[in-house]
Amino acid sequence: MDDLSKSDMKFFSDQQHCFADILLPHEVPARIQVVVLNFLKILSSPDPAISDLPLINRKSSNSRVSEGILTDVSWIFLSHSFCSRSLMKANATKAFIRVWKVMEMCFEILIQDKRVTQRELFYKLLCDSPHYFSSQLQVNRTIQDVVALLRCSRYSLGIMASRKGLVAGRILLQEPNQEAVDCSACGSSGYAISGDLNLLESLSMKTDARYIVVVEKHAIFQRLAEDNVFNQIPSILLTAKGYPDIATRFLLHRMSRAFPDLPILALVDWNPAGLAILSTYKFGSIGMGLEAYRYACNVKWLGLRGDDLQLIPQQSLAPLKPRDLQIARSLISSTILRDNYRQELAVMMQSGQGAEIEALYFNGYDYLVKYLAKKIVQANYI
Amino acid sequence: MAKSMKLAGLKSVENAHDESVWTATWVPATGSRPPLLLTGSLDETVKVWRPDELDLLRTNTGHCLGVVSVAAHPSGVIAASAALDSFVRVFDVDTNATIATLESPPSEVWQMQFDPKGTTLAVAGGGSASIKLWDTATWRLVATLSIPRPEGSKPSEKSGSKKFVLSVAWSPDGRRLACGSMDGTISVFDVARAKFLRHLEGHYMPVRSLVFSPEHDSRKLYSASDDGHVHIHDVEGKAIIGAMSGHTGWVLSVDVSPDGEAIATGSSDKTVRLWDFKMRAAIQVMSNHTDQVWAVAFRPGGRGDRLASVSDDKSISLYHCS
Repeated sequence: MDDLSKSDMKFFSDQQHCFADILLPHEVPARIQVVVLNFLKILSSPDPAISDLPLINRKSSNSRVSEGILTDVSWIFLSHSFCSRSLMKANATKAFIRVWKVMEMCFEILIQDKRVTQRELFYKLLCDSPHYFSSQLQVNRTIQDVVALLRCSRYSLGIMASRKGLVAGRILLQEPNQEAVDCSACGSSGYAISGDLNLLESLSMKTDARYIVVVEKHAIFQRLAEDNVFNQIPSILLTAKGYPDIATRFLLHRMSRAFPDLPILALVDWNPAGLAILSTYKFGSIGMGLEAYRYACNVKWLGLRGDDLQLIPQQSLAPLKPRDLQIARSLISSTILRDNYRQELAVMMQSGQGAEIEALYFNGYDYLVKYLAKKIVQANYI
Repeated sequence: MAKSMKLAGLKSVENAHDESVWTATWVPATGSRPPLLLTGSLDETVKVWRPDELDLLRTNTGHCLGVVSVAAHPSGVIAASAALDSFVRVFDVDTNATIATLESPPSEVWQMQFDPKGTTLAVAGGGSASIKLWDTATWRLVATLSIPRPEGSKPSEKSGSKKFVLSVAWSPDGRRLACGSMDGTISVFDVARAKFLRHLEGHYMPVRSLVFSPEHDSRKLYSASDDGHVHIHDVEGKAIIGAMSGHTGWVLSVDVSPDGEAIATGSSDKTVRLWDFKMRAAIQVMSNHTDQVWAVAFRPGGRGDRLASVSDDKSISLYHCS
């Protein structure tokens, strides 16, 4: 994918592609300095003005799909439509200032050669500029604004990803100059995926697995790891404990490149949220659209799907909540889902019900492993 | 002033800690949760409680000696706890993640308070006869406000121990810091210029608790002393505005309600008293504790309708204030 974007033979859709560069620590302060200098230039010009900050628009209206013609992988990317943060808009002045404050903080962090998590950045901003920052969500959104302004990845700004994901199963991971970790011997808690993308990049990986299984929920991951499912079905288990974070997606992407013959299978709940999670691993997201496209993988939907509903009792189906319907509507309106996924989503919405993977336990606690094995052997994934 | 305040007991938790409870503070509400109560104890733990039922949300361990002081950042996201081992632990209230650990020489960490904006943490410096100021964004020691040595004494003389600093209070506009010493004197500093301004005399025994009245440009400081009295000072002048007596033991803690109407104190005489400023007398005495009351704290924000008290008897009490 990277090779395509650098090649001279760009298709039309590639020309529309707007992306964030992955920069070295000394390159980002230079970009910040350019922004400051431009701002000052306009401010001190003969016709002075407080310039707006142009940010790449992170809305669905600015999102495009790259269909996987040469590869099996399709992905969502953002194009060159801008929105702006302006000091001149009465209700949005604080948002404008927040972008500058985060840039300032990142500049300081980078020249000290440090890295922080989003949470640590929140504590610093809360104490340094209490008028402007009051919640973690605000900080996260402002960070994305800075990514959209400077067109560099969040990691380049010195902000580490969260440590959310876990790996278990038939894979050996080795950090440089460290002992190799055998993820099948890590117990039910697995190997914790670091938030430091450079570290993940430097991991050496060896495997004899035949499949990679991505699991939505932590509880299911633990269950499968405890039951050593990866010894019965030679596989690698991966989870982000819910909505996938960049570090987990990064590692999955590396695995898919290193072991291209291993199909990647997703085990999610039968509801719009589960499909949204699968979709993020598969295509990327709009929210982090400038970076997320890089880590799109050819993930296939193993379960739960419509035909699995016959395996679970009627009473384990639960009505979809308003939030689920909201997610479903935005999935339907995105152009990236293919027909077979759309059909599954349509059935969900029509019945107004969803089911969790745990419903399979109705047939016995060991049923989940049998279900998984049967589906894999029958190649029953879409 | 027509309104007369009254306290009514709401809830008590016996054996809230395994040992004496020495300190308490309220953590302001954040966007996602209401105010919480933090308590610190000789049992080396800090506990987080949710009112009004005083449900125990979390027990924080890690301090090596008794916890002498807890303080909450005005945003409600962060808090700090200090122990006799002179370590200050700064942590995220909801997750208990450690944000920073501040080290100081032995016996140089006592009471603490965040400034009203939350950019600085002031720590009463005990044997160092100073207030230490820590920047909250970088957690570096940015200033030390020292109490000047008495005139005529040489630097080698150990007269500093008389000025042992126990308590500290920020004025609501963040411009003044006051600290109370073992010898009863209160020192007032100009924060921006890092300059000692004056002593406030009156007490001759340790001043363990100080609080400014809550109006924004307030100059009124309440002080609680082992001499059994509560004094009201004007920090810009030298005169005492008033004194309130009634406790039969050391007054260990004083707090003022967010609307400035009521003052509450806790004492070694085991009582919590509510005072009327105009009458300079106690209008109510609560005697539910069976041992010294180390700390009293009004819930911040709005009507100030809750008061908490903690005691050597290991219990916490919550009162409704109306």
